[in-house]
Amino acid sequence: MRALFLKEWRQNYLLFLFALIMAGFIPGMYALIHGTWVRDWKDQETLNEIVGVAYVAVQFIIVLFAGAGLFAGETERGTLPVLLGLPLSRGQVWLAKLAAGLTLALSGVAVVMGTGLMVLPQTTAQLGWYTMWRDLPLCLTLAFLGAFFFSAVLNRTISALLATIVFGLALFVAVVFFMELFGATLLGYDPLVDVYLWMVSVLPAMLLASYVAFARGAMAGGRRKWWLALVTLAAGVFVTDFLIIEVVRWETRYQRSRVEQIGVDATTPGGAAIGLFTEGDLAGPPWHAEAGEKIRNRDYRRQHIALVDVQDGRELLVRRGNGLVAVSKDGKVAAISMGWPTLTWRTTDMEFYEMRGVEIWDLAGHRRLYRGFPPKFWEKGKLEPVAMEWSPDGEWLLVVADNAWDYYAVGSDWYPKGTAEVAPFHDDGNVLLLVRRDGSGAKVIECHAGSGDEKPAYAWDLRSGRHAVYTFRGDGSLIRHDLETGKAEKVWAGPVPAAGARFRLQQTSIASSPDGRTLAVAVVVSGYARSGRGYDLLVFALPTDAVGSQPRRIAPVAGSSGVDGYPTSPLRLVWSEDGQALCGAAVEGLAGSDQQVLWTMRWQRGSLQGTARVQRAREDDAVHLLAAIPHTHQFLISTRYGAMSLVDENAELRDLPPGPLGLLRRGAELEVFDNQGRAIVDLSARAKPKLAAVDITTGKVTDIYP
Amino acid sequence: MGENGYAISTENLTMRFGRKYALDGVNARIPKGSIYGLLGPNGAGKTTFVRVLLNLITPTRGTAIVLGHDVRKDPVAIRRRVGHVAALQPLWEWMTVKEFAGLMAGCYPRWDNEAVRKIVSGVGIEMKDKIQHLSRGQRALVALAVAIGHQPDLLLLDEALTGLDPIARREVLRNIIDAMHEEGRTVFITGQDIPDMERIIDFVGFLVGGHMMVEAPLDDLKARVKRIRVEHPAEAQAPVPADALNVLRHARETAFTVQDFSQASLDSLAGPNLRAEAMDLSLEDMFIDLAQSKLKVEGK
Amino acid sequence: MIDRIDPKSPLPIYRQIIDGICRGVAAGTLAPGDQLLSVRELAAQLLVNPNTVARVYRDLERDGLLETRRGTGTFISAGAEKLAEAERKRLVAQKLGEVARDVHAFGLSTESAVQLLREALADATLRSSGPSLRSTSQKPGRKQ
Repeated sequence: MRALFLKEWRQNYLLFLFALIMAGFIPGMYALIHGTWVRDWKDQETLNEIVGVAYVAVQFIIVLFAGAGLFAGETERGTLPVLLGLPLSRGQVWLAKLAAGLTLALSGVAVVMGTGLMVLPQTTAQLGWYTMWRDLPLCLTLAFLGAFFFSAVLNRTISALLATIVFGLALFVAVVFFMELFGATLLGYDPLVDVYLWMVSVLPAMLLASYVAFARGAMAGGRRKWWLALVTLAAGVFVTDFLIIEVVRWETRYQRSRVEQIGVDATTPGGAAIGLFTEGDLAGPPWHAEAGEKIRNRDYRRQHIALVDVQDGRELLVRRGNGLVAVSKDGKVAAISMGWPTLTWRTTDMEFYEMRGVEIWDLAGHRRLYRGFPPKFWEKGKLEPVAMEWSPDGEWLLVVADNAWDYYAVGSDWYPKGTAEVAPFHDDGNVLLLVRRDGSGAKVIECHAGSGDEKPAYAWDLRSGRHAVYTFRGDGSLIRHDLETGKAEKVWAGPVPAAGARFRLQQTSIASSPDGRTLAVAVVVSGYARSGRGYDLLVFALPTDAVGSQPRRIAPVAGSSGVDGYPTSPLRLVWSEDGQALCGAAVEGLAGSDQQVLWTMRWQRGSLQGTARVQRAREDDAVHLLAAIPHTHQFLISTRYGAMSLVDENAELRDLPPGPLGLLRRGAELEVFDNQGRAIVDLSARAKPKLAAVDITTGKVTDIYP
Repeated sequence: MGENGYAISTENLTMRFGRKYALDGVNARIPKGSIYGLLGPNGAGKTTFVRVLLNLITPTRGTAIVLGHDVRKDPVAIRRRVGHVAALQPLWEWMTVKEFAGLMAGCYPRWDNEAVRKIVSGVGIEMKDKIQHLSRGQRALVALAVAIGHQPDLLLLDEALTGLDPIARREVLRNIIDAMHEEGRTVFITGQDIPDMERIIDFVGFLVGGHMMVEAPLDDLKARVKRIRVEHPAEAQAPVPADALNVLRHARETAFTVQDFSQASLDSLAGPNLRAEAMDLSLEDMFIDLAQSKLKVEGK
Repeated sequence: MIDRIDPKSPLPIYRQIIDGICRGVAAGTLAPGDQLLSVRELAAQLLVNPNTVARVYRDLERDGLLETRRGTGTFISAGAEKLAEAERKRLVAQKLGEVARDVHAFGLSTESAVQLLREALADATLRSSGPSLRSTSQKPGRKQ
C-alpha cells in the first residue's frame, strides 16, 4: 500500500510544483505591482485585498485539484482495472488515495500560506483571524472532501471539479437559507444556529459516501454508484446531524448543579409563589465579537428558565430560554417568552438577531397548551415582549411588546401594518397583544405609553367577571376593551384641558383594587395648567360601576397650576392585598430639584378615608415602590443606595434593618412574595446562586433553591 | 479450500447490468497448467468474466473459484497469485517502465525484476523509457512483463492480442509460451484473434451473448466438429442431421458442419449414390458456424 | 526442419509437427543422432503450445522415432532409419490416396492416371538437383 501511496504522490507532483511556484509567484507579482502602481495608502489597501484574495483562491485551486483527480482520473485513463487488480482491498486503495490527496493538499496549502504569512503578512492579516483560522480551513476541508467525493462518483476530473464548486455554493446557500427560515424552530430545541456546525456535519458523510461509492460501486455501472453514494451521503448527513443535535442537547441540558445565576422574575400567584432563574452567562449575541474578543456561543445556549415551587424547591417546569415568564394567579398556567438567535442577511454580512416566541404551559398537568411565534416570523420584525401578565383566571395572556407598534396594527390580529386600519394617535403609543391560553383570539389593542422606557399602563377588569382590559388612549381617554366581544368603550374622557391649552398626555398608570371596584389612575399631562406651561400629576379613583362618570380626584397635586416641575420617574400605584390601602410613588421636579414623593390613601367600603404624603428630599436619591406586603397595609420601597423601607397607609416611613436584606438584590426583582408574606429573593450576590425566602420584618432567611 | 485440479471453475456464473445479462449461467472449467482460450465476439462477456474472477465486479449469481479461493470471500488472496493484463493494456502514461515495475513490485509478495527486463528488452524497451513514448505493441509487452514479473500461478490476459501489430503479437505469444515453463502455471486468454490463439491454446471456450456455448479441449473439438461434404444426385436430398450447422445445399452437393463427428456416422451417410467426406475445420471456421447458428436462434 | 506451422490449415498442429519431423527424417535432413530443439524452444519458435510439442515428442518416442536422454535433450533415435522407409511409404501413400480419390471423382481411367504419374515422376527427377542426402545404399534413380 505504501507503494501505491507513493505512486499517487508522484502522479500529482505537478500540483505541489504549482504550489511552490505560486508561493513565489504571488510575492513576485506583489512586488512588481507595488513598485509600478501603488501611489497612496488606498492603492496599497486595494493591493493587499487583491493579494489576500489571490492567496485564498490559490489554496482552493490546490485543494480542489488534489481531490478531483484521484478517482476520476483513473476512470478517465482506463487504469481502474489495473488499480483494482492489485492485491489490495478497495479500502486500502481508497485509503492510499485519501492519504496522498490529503497530504498533497495540506502541504500545498502550507507552502502557499506559510510563505504568504512570512513574506506578505499584511495581505494575509487583512483576511481576519477568524477567516484565516476557522472559516478558511473549514471551507478548504469541505472543498477537498467534496472534490474527493465527486471524484469517486463521477467519471471525469473536470466534472468532479465543477460538481464540487456547484455543490459548495449550493451547500452554503442551503445552510444559510435553511437556518434563516427554520433556525429558530429546528426540532423544537434552542437553535443550533451555527453555520459551521452544519457545514462540518457534511464532512464525515462525504468521506463515508466516497468510500462506499468506490468500494461498492467502482466498475459496477454508473447508476449503482450514484445511488450508493447519494444514499450513503443522505444517511450520513442525517445521522451526523442527529448526533450533533443530541450531543448539543445533552451538553446544554439543564442541570441543577450548573446553575450560575438566579433571577426572581415571576409575578406572584395565589398559593405557592414561583420564582425563575437562568443558568449560564447571560451573554449578549456572541457573534458580534469585537476584535480580539472570544466568541461566547456556548454560554448563550445553556440558558434555561425554570419555574420552582418556593415552598419546597420543586422544579415545576424547565424550558430552554432566556426570556420572560408570567404565571397566572392561581398558579395553573405559565407563559414563557423565549428568544432564539436566528440568522439573517443585512447588506453583505450575516447577522444574528433574536426572535421570540411564546409558549404557554399547564403547570399542573405539565402539558404545553400553546406554542406560537409571531406570524410571518421570517420577516425582520420581531416580537419583543417587555412584560407579560395573565388575566386573573389565567384565561388570557397580555403581552406588552416594545416595538410591536411598528409591526402590528390596532384592531387587527397579529399582522403587520398595512393589513388593517390604524388608529391615529401620536407616535409614542404602544400596543398590547392579547391571546387566549390556547393561542386563539389574538388581539391587538391600543395603549398609550410615555416616552423612553416607560411601560404602558393597563389593568385587568377584576370586577365584572368578563375578560376586559383598561388602557389609556393618546388623547387621554380611558378605554375598556372587552376581549370577548372586541368592543372598546370609553369609560372616562380623561383630564379636561383648560381652554386653549395644548394638552399632552405623558405618563399614565392604572391599578385596580383587588375587588375590582375601584381603579386608581394616575396621569401626567403637560399643558394642563391655565398658564399653558407646567405639568400635573393627577390621581383619580374611578368607580368601575359608573361608566362615563367623572372620577374623584383624590391626590393633591404638586406642581399644579403653573409650577415648573415635571415627574422624572414613572408613576407607580400599588394596592394593599385587602384593597384598603393604596400607595403611589413619584418623583416630582420642583424648580430644578427632584422630590421623592410617596403618598398613601386609606380606602374603605369603596370610599376614601384619608390621604397622606411623605416626601424625601435627598437630591440624589430615588424611590422605588416595590410591592405591598401581604397581610398588612404596608408597602416596601427601596432607594437608590439599596436601603429598604416600609411605608404604611399613613405614610409613616420605617427603615428596615440592613441584615440579610442588605444582601438582597436591588431593584424591581423584589416583588415576589409567597403566601406567607415572605419575599422571594436571589442571594447570589454572596457567591453561589441561591434562592431564598426572607421575612421582611424579622429578617429570617430560609433557603429554597438549589 | 479444496484444490481440485482446476485453476478456475465457475458454477452458474451470472452477471447482470441493469436488464442486460453480460454473463448468463456460465459453467467454466480451466484446468491447471493449461493454456485456455475464451473466444467470443464483441460484447460476449469475456472482459466481464475476467473482471468477475478478480472481483473487480461482484457476480449477481453463481460461484467462481480461482486457485482454490472463492472470488466473493478471498479476492485479495486471488489477486496476489494472479497476473492480470486488462483489455487495451491501460497504463499510467507519466510513468517510466521502471516506476511501473516498482509500483507492482511494492504490491506483490514475489518479484523478478530481471525477468521483466528481459521481456521488455525483446522489443527494444529499456527500463528507463517513459511509457507515453512507447508504441501500442510495446505497451502491451510492458503490461505482460509486469504481470509475469510477480511470478503468478495464473495469468489472466484479457484481449491479449487484440489490436497489436504482428511483431508485438508474436512477442506476446512467445512470452506466454516462455512463461509456461513454470510447473503448474495456467494461462487464461480471451480474444477474437482465433488463428493466433489456436496455435497456443489447448482448451477453448466459446462465449456468445453471455452463454458458454462450447467448452472442450481443442483436440477434442477438432475431432468432433468437422465439415461433411456429400455428393448426391440432383433430385435426391442428402440426409442432414438435425443439429447440423451452416448447411449449404447445391444441386449435387450438400455441405454441413457436424458437432459430434465419428467415422461410423460418416460411414452411415454413405450410400449407393452418395459420396461423403469429412474435412477438418479451423477453429475460426468452427467458431463462425457455432456463433452464427446461435444468432439465428436468437433472431427467431 | 520444422520452422513454421500453418495455423489456418485444418490439419491439427500436432499433426503438422509430427508430419514435419517425419518428413525431415524421410528426406534425410534429420539423421539419427541429430538433436531436436527442446520442447520449450521448439514451442517458442513455432509459437505453439508447449504441451502439444511435448505430446509430439512423447508419441514419437513411443513410436521409436525419437529418444530422450535425461539432462541432454531429445534426439532422433538410431532406429529411425528403419522407420524412415515405412514412413516414406506412408507419406507417399497418403498423398497418392488423395490423388486416387480425385481420379475416381473426376472419372479418369486408371491408365490415364498411371500415365500422369509417370510424367510427374519424370518431372520431379529432372527438377531435383543433386543426390539425396540419404546415406543409404539406394541408388538415385527413377527405377522403382
